[in-house]
Amino acid sequence: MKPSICTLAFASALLAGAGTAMAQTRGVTDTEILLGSSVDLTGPVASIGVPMKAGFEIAAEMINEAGGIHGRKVRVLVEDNGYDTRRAILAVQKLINSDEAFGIIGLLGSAITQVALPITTEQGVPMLFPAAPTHVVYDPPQELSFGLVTGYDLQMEAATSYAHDELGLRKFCMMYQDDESGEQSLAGVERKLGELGLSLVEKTSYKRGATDYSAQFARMKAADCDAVMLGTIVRETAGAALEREKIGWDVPLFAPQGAVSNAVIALGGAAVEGLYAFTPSLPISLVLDDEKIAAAVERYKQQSGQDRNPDDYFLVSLAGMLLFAEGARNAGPDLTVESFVAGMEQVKDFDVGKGWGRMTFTAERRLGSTKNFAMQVKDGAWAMIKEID
Amino acid sequence: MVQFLQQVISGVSIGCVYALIALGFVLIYKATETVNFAIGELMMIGAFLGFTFIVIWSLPLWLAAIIAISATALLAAMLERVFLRPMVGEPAFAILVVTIGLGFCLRAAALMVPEWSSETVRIFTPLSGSVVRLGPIVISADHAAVIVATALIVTGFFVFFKRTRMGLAMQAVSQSQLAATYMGVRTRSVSTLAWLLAGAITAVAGLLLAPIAFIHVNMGVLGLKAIPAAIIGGFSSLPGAIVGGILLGVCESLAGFYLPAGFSEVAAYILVLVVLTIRPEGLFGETIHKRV
Repeated sequence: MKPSICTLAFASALLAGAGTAMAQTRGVTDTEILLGSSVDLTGPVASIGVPMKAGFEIAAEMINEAGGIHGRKVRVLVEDNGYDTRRAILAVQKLINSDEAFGIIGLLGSAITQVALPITTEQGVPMLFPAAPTHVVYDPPQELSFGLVTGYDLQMEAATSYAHDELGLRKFCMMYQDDESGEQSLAGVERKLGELGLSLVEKTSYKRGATDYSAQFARMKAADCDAVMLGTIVRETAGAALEREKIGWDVPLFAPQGAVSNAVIALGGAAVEGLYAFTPSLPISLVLDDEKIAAAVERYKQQSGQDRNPDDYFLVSLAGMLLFAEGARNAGPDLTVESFVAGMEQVKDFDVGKGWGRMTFTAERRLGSTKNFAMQVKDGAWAMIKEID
Repeated sequence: MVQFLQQVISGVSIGCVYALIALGFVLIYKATETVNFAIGELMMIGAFLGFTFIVIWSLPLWLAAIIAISATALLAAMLERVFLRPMVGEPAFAILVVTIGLGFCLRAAALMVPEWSSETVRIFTPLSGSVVRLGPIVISADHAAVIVATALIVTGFFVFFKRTRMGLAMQAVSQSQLAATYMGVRTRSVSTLAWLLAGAITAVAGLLLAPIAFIHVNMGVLGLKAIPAAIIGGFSSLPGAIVGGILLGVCESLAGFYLPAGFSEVAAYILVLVVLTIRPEGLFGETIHKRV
């Protein structure tokens, strides 16, 4: 069958449409660059998502007040996802297809990021600095995916070397959540122990949502280990510390990033004293002497009408926006996805503010910094005890 | 051996919490033949009320506990009056669905309270952090408190059912509603009383749980453990509920320690299957023979 004139006309119209889309980069006009994000504004982690949204907006304000990026102002459109993966996917698709965002910045949550990444990749949209401690973002390196926070595996690798090198501990046990996040932590610990010629004396898991860890701790105590590595998030970290206290066991605990939160201290009380945790960025309370951060926090307080510091994830938004601006500046006035990627690969030892490692990106390196901070609860507050590169 | 005893004691203390919830469950079932799936949510409300009075309002522990327990009991009684009373005479399945719905509503209501929603909180007691050592065995003071409190409550219930008029009336209703009505027992107020008592007892369970686990909106799922506990005990036996709950706690604890990961989560259901295979009427159940 010969193609009808109608089909040919339709096909040529499509091609013409594609041609014009190529000419102008999605989300970039002469005066503006539009970024999209989706965080939880109404659901279980809204206490993180709401300050993150404020972080994007305040960073955009500050960038724009300083003249923008090659004369273009940055705007971030934030969609609520209620911490629901399906809603997050719909939001990302809307941001790309309907709002035509240049990139997706600061997605909150590892599961959400992992599901969204194939979509942004397929659509040719950069995935920028998600608030997701997972290696999927940067390992293996993908052209359009840029990471800011270290994965749980790197955090727990740092934890293992700290326990081994600094504290001289040799018999490691581990309790982890039996899902993706816990297994990443486990992978990090096992990898490091393998390098050191050691292996876990006991490993035990719990189901997501569990609040009773008595059997797990009894097993680890029976194995007589001298370090307990945790593949936990917030509540479970406090729960683990309480269980250790309950059975009167004096063993040091090591946890990934999620533990570095005031919620852990509020829940755990005296039981979390001495707890170690490893994180790619310092909490806000420790970095307020950085002028840029202090100014952003001050704006947050004015705009929100609250006297409290925002959640620490505010800093993830801030750092991500600063990195984006740097990459886009390096890209030059003609901002396209290709020039942006080239611009990001020129970012060397860039300072996103106190409490982060210096950021460098290359074609093979899609995580800005592998630095982690060793933290410990001292007198009821998180204190930084060592920088681990 | 020390490990074994340690696990048994830890299991008994969490089993006491299961037992209390199962007790509330069986109380309502005996008096009204209603399977109440909202029992776990009542416990959650009780725990959050305790948290509100103790932590937010800084009331003394004893006063806060009394108010929280009374308020939960009244809430339960009110739920019975408003939602369950009109269902009298409806099929058991319809009533069951109403209780499931009530559970959802209570959880949604808790989510609407700003201080409760999406937060995980904990109540610190003067006992928190201290441990009791019996030779090589270590018991946390909070766990010991759970065991002691459960023993006191169970004794209280025993006296109530054997010695008081209202307790005897409840026993009568549970044997035969019709006969009890003929004998002059006000079966409707017995039904409300059953909910009131169940509300109080689950609030106690919630308060006892608060220092050893955490309070959060989804803690009500623990209530689902009360169902196997009640089944093991025979479903309509109060001592059965206690024994069933404790047995369940111990089994879970031992399974968690001696068996591979994952077994402690299903231990409850394996135990139910085993008990039902050996004694289909439950450990304390009575077989009712109907004469034709």
